[in-house]
Amino acid sequence: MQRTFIFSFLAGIALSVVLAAVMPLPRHERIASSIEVLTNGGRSEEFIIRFPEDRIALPDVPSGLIVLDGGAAYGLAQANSAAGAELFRLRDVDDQIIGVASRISARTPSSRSPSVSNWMLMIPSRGSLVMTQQDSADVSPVRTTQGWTLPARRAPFWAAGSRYRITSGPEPGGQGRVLRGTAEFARLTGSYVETWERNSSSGSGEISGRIRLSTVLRGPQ
Amino acid sequence: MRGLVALVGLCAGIVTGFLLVLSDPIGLLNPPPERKTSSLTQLVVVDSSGLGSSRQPRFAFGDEADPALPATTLKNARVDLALLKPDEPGASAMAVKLSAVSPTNDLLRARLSADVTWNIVWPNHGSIFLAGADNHWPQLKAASLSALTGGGFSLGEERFELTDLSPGTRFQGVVGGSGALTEVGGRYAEATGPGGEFVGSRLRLQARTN
Repeated sequence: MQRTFIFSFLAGIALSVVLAAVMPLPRHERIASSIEVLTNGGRSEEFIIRFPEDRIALPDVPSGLIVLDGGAAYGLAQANSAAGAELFRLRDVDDQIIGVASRISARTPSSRSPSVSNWMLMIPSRGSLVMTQQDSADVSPVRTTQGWTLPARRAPFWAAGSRYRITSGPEPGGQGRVLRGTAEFARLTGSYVETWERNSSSGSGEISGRIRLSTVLRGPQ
Repeated sequence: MRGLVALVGLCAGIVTGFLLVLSDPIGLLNPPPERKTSSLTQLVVVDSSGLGSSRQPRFAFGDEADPALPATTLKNARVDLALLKPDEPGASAMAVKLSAVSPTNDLLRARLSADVTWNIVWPNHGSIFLAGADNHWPQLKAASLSALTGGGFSLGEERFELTDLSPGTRFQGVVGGSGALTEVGGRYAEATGPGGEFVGSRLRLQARTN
């Protein structure tokens, strides 16, 4: 009887360990990445965000933060300055949704550019990239008589044309800086360029278009 | 009679095995180095709003009006927007936290984590990026033990360390930043609010200037 108990007890322990080993854990669906290997080293990859359809609206707004442009973005205002946060779904060049992205823009007194923008791109099956840039125009929230708004949501911003290169530094050639990657992007650094392309404006005045993030990543030298 | 003894033995073994897996015996053989807790800045999540992971429908990031865009690639991802305040007098900050279930999770090695990146901005000053992983194993352990003792699968009011500042652990760092914080580096740790909630979480920054 004692032997039966010990045997079944050990079998129970073994069963638990086997269950822990084979229990299916959440896995990310992976879409083949569209990477171009560059002849002079490194690799380039382009990410696309369509606006307004790729904007992510949150179920509510944290107290102390403000809503910009009817939920297109969120902000934190202090005195005459505000930082804006935009949340997006991220697409590859084949228009497939592969991740999420956030863009935070703000004016900073120590920077020579009109505003500074930070990007986080997270592709669950591959990892994340964090990137920062000086902006060629002020794209941070501005205060109007109607409240805080994003300049690109207003028609005058697009007066110069329908294509706008936002990145103007700090890397040579006016490119932004890829600070770090995680998981598959770990140990990669590089540069990128953010470009906004306007399609049209609907009857309601809603501006549509896409944001193109063109990255060049390199491994350690 | 023999069958009953075998059943009792099997159940006792399963419970023992379950507790054994929860106690992370592999980790006990390799204890982490002692924790450093000096020169910290602490930020507290005052309020937040989030989308994604198990709390929302599977297609939280998808377009319900367009089934062609179900965004199944994002079903284990999460986005949080938060207002942070320092625990000492100082300016508030806005933060975005992106997280996704880690592909390296392994129950036998007590790995149940999410890969995370933070971007924290102080208007008119600068911003920093954090990158690392949140370890949710202590929460699973606490909830499981609560369930085994008849308290339901609950976290109570306990706070949980998601990360620590131990040197030698996986990268858990201040990646860099912009504005006045461009040259900042260092490490960070996060602990949840009461009951494992995001609101009330504390971020401890051990920052240095490069």
